[in-house]
Amino acid sequence: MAEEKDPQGAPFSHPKPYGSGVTRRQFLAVAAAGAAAAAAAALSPLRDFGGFPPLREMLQKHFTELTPGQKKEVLERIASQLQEKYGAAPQLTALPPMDGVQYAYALNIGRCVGCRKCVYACMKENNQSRDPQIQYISVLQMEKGNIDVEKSSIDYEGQVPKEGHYYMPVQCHHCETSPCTKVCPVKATWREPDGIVVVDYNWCIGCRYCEAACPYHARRFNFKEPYLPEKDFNPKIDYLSNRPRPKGTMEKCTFCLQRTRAGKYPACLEVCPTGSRKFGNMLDPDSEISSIIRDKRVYIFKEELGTVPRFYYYTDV
Amino acid sequence: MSEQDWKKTDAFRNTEIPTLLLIAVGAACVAAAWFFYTNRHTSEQGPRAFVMKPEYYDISPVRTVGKKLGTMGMACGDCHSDPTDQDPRTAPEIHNKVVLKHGSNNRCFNCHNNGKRDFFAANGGGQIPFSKVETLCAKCHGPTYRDWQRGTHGRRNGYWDKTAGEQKNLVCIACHDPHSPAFKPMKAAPAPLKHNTPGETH
Ligand code: HEC
Ligand code: HEC
Ligand code: HEC
Ligand code: HEC
Repeated sequence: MAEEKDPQGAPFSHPKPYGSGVTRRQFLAVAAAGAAAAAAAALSPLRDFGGFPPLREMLQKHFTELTPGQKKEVLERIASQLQEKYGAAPQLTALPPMDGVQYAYALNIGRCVGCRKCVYACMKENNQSRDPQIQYISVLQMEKGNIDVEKSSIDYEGQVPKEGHYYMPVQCHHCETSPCTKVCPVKATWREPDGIVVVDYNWCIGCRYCEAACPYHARRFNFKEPYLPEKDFNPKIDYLSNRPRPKGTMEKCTFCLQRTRAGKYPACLEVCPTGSRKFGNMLDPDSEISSIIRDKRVYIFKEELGTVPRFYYYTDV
Repeated sequence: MSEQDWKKTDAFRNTEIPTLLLIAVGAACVAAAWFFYTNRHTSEQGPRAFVMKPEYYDISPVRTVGKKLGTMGMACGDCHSDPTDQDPRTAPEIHNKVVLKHGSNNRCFNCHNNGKRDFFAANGGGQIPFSKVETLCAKCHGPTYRDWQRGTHGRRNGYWDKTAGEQKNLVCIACHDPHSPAFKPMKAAPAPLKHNTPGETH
């Protein structure tokens, strides 16, 4: 078929990176079979940088199947769209996972005071929409001696910690058997070899199945055009993490992939005034994360679900 | 249905439906184009209630460590040349900012070197330079000190991968006031705006 070729003339392969299933193209075709309005709605996530999406964007292959040359082309195209929108020239990378590295995160639940600095350091780093407000971390205020999250509150204000309470920040747990990636009809979200669960915002069709599947309520949907003031734009971005998202796509914590794959700590850890947040390579026996798994009392949130998170809660002794 | 009606319908079917369809599709296209155009810049409208303030994400620790210790711009040794035979629990008027609330660790010379005030006190009268304050704390907080060395107490900044860049370990007194070491309460950054609450997503 004529349209089965990509713009460079290379044979176009259907994106089926992980097992079979409906492809994104087939899924869109079904959606478009309705009326013109339905087609417009299905395309809407793609149109956000002004006008219709370029043909190339619509024909892009699945990110994990792009050749280095094609990847470069995609990055250049996105970088120029962003420069137009935010003024500053972004440093857009597509950092690969490192060999011999498996990421894990641990949070000292006995030490966190609930100050929410992690929440805002995360927003600053990851270019989340300011309006509607999108935050990846929810800090739950819990009653001491009670582990029932249904009784927690997130709207506390003022001096912290509050008498008789402890605090439990929740964000993406980067599960080894991630329920969110399994339900994605188009494979727009998957688990990388280093354990980070990512979303390709160009591929996401906004069906929100993953959001419903996540037991940690860690996924956030851009139900409106995201608003990010130019002065707040962080130009150090990666394709699979903190580049600005279009309307109609899903996003979440990526362990600050743009930082961590360059060897840095995630932004939420860097800012924590109590030092409750720990991150590193669990394959390195000398890392703080290995030490915690070995020597501390570690808890897994909703362990009974069998999600096998890479995010642990711990206490001393 | 009469023959006449049949013809009418037939004629309708053969000619007018395609025409109507064309018009409908054309109208839909125009509508879609208008939809795309008008939705482009909606992000620039409406009130912006939320403003990111730098103090919400400032990474500096809760306490500034006195780089060059002293009082009134002078080194400790400028006023304290000889050791005293006192070991007080409360600071004299001249050091009135010092309020000791460190549990049963309640004497100045548990930590300060009596003979050489510009040093901390190691066990057995030895000296610990101000820059090595963690060795002072280690005297009495062995397990916490070991955790700090492993990175499980306190905070490391910079690079988790030390082959890629520098890693800094915050000193104890960047978080704890040595004279009253309990971690101080702080003001929480604002709660999330209502629509963001998990309650709405489940
Ligand atoms: C401007 C002069 C001055 C400087 C500088 C100074 N002190 Fe003092 N300090 C005093 C005086 C005066 C007293 C009270 C002495 C007394 O009552 O005999 C005192 C008392 C003390 C005491 C109580 C024990 C004692 O000697 O009576 C300690 C401990 C102490 N100073 C530590 C320090 C340390 C540590 C520094 C440096 C960080 C320092 N001082 C710098 C003037 C000074
Ligand atoms: C737990 C150990 C400890 C004890 C006990 C202690 N200090 Fe200190 N003191 C320190 C440390 C550590 C510093 C350095 C603080 C910094 O760099 O911010 C310091 C700093 C000082 C300073 C200079 C800076 C300042 O805060 O004004 C003075 C003066 C001082 N101490 C006096 C005293 C006096 C007087 C006592 C007894 C009442 C005392 N200290 C007890 C550990 C101790
Ligand atoms: C001479 C021994 C000694 C030294 C030196 C010492 N401490 Fe302590 N520290 C104690 C004792 C005793 C307590 C009280 C423990 C208790 O009451 O259960 C304590 C308690 C604490 C606490 C808990 C406070 C609370 O109220 O929760 C902190 C934090 C602490 N120390 C930090 C430090 C730091 C930081 C240093 C180094 C600047 C230091 N200590 C040096 C003996 C010491
Ligand atoms: C990033 C900040 C930070 C640094 C750096 C830090 N601490 Fe702490 N430490 C805390 C917090 C927060 C607590 C919990 C205190 C509380 O609840 O009052 C704590 C608690 C403690 C306690 C009480 C026992 C416990 O484990 O709860 C001791 C003792 C202590 N720290 C000693 C040290 C010593 C010694 C060092 C340096 C070797 C150090 N801390 C470095 C933040 C820090």
